Amino acid sequence: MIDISTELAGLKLGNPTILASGILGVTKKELEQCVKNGVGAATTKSVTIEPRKGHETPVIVETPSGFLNAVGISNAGIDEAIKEFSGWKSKSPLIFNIAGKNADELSSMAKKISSSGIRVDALEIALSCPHTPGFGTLAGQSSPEATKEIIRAVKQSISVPIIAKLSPSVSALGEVAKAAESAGASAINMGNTAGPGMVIDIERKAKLPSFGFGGLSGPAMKPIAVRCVYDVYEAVKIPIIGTGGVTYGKDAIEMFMAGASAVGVGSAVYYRGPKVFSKISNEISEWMESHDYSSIKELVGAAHGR
Amino acid sequence: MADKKTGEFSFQTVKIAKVTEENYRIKTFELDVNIAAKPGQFIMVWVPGVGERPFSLLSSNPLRLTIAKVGPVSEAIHKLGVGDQLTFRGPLGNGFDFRKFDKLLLVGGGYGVVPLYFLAKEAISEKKSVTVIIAARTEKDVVLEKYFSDMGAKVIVSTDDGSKGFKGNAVDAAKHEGLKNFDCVFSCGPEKMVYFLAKSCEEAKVKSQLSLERYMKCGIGICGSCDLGGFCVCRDGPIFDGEKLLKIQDFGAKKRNSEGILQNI
Repeated sequence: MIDISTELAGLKLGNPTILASGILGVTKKELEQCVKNGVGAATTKSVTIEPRKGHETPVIVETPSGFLNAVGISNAGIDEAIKEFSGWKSKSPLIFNIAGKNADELSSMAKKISSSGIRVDALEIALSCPHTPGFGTLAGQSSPEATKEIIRAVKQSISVPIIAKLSPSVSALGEVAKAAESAGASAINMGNTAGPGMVIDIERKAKLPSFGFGGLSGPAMKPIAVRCVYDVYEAVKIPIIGTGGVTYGKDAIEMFMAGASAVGVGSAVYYRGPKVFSKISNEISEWMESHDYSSIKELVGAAHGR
Repeated sequence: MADKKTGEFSFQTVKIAKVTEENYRIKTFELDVNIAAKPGQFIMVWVPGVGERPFSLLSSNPLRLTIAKVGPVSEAIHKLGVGDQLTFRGPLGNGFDFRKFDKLLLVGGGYGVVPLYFLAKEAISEKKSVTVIIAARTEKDVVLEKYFSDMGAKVIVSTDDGSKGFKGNAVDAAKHEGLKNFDCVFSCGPEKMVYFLAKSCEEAKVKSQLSLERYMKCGIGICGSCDLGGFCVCRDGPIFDGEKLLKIQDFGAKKRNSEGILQNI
């Protein structure tokens, strides 16, 4: 079989599939199950400084070729999360995702993780949640200035590589990515859900998800995600995780050609089941074999200038 | 596993055709729709402005839900009457796998008997021998007894306080029937009951299939809220083999709340 390993922010991934934050990732056992199912790296669901219930259900609704979700960053809080995810033993890296109201909150969480001594291979900063007041885009964290301030503060609080998870719904995306890079981010995850969007159930004359709007994921957002990855690749030198609508191996190839070195996989866990990671990996290597590629590196950014 | 198509998970809104009061806190809602579901599967019912929760099915053809008033969503549903709208998605989850067995023992605790009625109905139509234990704390909590006896199942009622039928808990009643007399034991009810029943089945070397509950949000195996030992109860369950469950540390002991914090059961 073809070598489909990839490197990202100093992390070695056996294959380029990464479980996107917010899919499974509530518990360590779930992440271990993803490893069994072939994931290249696993990301926790976003963790905040205090426990959060999140929004009332329905938190997710189906749309043509995708989902809208507004979960509301439900999580057990940083102290419980450190206990939950301690003792990670897999060869596949563990990416710990945190969300916070401001730079202070995020850097104090980073300090807690650092001083706990648990194994965390990279820290991903959710600057881009589109549906939770006080966090992400609704707190203005998607601007170049806020991105720089937050990444810099977190970088000083922990020694593991920092991944900045950006929103596809900003106009000066290249500037945001540059801000993250200059502040010390080792990689960009491009990125979060798109929109936000709204569904109205016409029989009930009511909005969905129950929060009133939610982030768009799944195949419906893939062209937006590909364009964002392309733009970020033009703007920065650090590696990119292409996240948004990756469901099949050919979607991952498209992300590589746009400039991604790895791909986030989320909604596809629904479409193709928990073994989706090994399915996508197999499809990537089949495609590479039939097209005479021997490493992912050869594909990264291949569509630029064409 | 075949890939999912878009649209498989959308809400549908139907009218309530009939409401039957089963006891002081349980009602059956018959809906103006038939769905293709297996016994043990569930649907997510959404009450706009209140929330969305999973409910097991009493039958699929027509779709009937037997619902206990236990929280805000079930309370809101209890206020609905004939002609009112009900909105749901599903069926979801795996369902019971009963076809390879001939002698079935069904053990329901409280309103846990609801999905077992659906199972009994299908099993009897396929000429299986069905014995059901309807277990409850006390007489007023015994439900669906006539539903089961009308279809020709052998029915045993047990109450913790002996106010009706066998005096003792569900596990005692099941042992009294002789677990070894059955090919497989199917159960739904409070988790402690289900846990001790699974242990008894393991000791008696009898297979068991058990319906479990965890805090569900998405219902389709992606949000991770309903984790049980790395499995999603909504997608990998809600029906699990007893042998598999007994290897999971949290079974019978702990479950997570909506924040994901582990709490004792």
